[in-house]
Amino acid sequence: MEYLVHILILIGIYIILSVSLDLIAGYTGLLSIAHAAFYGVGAYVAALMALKFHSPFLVNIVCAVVLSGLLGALVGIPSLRIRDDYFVIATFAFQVITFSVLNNWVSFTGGPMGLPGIPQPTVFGLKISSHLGFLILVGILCALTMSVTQRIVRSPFGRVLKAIREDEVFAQAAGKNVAAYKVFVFVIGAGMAAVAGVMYAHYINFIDPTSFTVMESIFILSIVIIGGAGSLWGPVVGAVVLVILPEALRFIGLPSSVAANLRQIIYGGLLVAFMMWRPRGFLGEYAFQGKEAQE
Amino acid sequence: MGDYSQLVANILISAAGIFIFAVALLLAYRVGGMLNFAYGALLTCGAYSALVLKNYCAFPVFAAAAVGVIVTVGLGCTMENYVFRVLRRKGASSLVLLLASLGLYISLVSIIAMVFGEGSKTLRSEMVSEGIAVLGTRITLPQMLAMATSVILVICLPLFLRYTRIGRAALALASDFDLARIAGIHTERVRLYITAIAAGLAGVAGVFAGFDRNIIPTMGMSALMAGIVTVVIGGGRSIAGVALAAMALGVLQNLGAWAMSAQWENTVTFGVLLAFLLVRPEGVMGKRLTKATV
Repeated sequence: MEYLVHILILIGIYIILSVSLDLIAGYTGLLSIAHAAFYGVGAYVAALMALKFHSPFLVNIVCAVVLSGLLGALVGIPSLRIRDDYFVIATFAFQVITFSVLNNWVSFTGGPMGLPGIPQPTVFGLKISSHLGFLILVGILCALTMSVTQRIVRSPFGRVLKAIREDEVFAQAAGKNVAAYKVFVFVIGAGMAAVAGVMYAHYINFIDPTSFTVMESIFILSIVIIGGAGSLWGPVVGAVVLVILPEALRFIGLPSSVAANLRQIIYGGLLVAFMMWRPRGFLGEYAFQGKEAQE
Repeated sequence: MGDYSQLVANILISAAGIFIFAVALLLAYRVGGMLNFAYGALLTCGAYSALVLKNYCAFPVFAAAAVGVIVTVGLGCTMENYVFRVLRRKGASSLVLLLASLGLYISLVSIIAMVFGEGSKTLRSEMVSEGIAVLGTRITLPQMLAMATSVILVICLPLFLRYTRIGRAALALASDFDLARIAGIHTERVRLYITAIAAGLAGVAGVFAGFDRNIIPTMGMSALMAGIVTVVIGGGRSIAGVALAAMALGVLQNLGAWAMSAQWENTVTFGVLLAFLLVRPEGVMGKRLTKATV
């Protein structure tokens, strides 16, 4: 039962991560492998504030969201000048730099040793100490994230995002401030990812940079793609499938190192398979059509 | 004096290693029309194949290296034929190709990790690692071979591209694909040949890395990072550009290790990349790319 709760919490965290990346990559068409950077910044800000200032949990979340949002804006700005492939590289650069900073600024972030002993969160006077309590908190945040996303994508703002994805030049010609929308969607996505980071930090009570690498970014992206980019429930399906997969493997009795690699093999393989036969994933709307590579 | 010449030697050695892999990426990018992360897996495959042949099949070192490269070429051509060619035929965008290559990278590297474990290994042996004293520096045989290979590449590859039939076909393909098709160029065959060359280069880079540094499953990612930065900064068009960029990166990495801790190497490298992308996305020797051409 404890185990089930643990899985559900992880699924919840990844739902928040993938839905937020879906806004950026699926709805706006800005493929980004920087998401783990936003996730990590959120986690570290919350952890550092809780450990050094003992500030209240809600203050920590707000600060994490704001700072991550700022990083998001930074990442969004290059998207105005560079197209597709090169933009992915730019997000790659941001991800690597962020990881480097987290890993090497030992005096501030603890470097590879990480930050242990992160206290449990206290929301509105209630201390969340049991896993079940945590699950409820994550569940609430999940629902919140999804409803915010739903409101965004069904609004005029969301329509412009999709327009940017489908034909950016046309959207610009129609008078939309494409630049502002792009930066804004990154800020929102980054902020949401930060919330997931805060949850992660307070759940595991220990964070280190290895949870926020390029590979993690690629994993979140895979969830979005396999689940279905450009849809509300696609990322949810993706998160459920890709989180349960390695756990299911562990049940067959495989040693956990083999299981970890097998999980990577499977999700790498799924990525290739989906790209070849169903690029829009399970429930997706967007198949990364973009410009056709020359056949 | 000896200190400086070792530094220069190290710069040249770093640049050589980066250059070989970056050329492979450049070929894949220009002829394949995509940023191909799978080449990181090819590099890793080269290193591990050579390792297996040397340690488990009792091949002499250089034979192991050569066959390792051949295995890598085989793998590269297989991927090209069964994944990328199929995707292109379906009209996949460069983003889809990129994602597929990412998936391939992840699966292949994880298979290697599962089979060989995460621990580091090496192709080095005592004889090789001691190095030979040259002009006040110590350089190992593989390092010298790497530098020699780079020099040969930088001279011969442009000649190959300009003066052989396949080379010219590849240039035509990279320059204007549809026109190349119309002119009767068998684009799929040309792509396969170039992929073979590029995969071979990636394998060679992997083997050299196997001698010079440790062989670990994630070695491909570091190579990809350096390679991508090099290709972008070099302009993404010419081999000369890549060569210049590789030198610059070699300087950056070695001076950086001197001036500050080696850990910040990646930050500096990618900071430079970002600066280039923002200020001069076409790199040092590239052409300005427009967002849309009517």
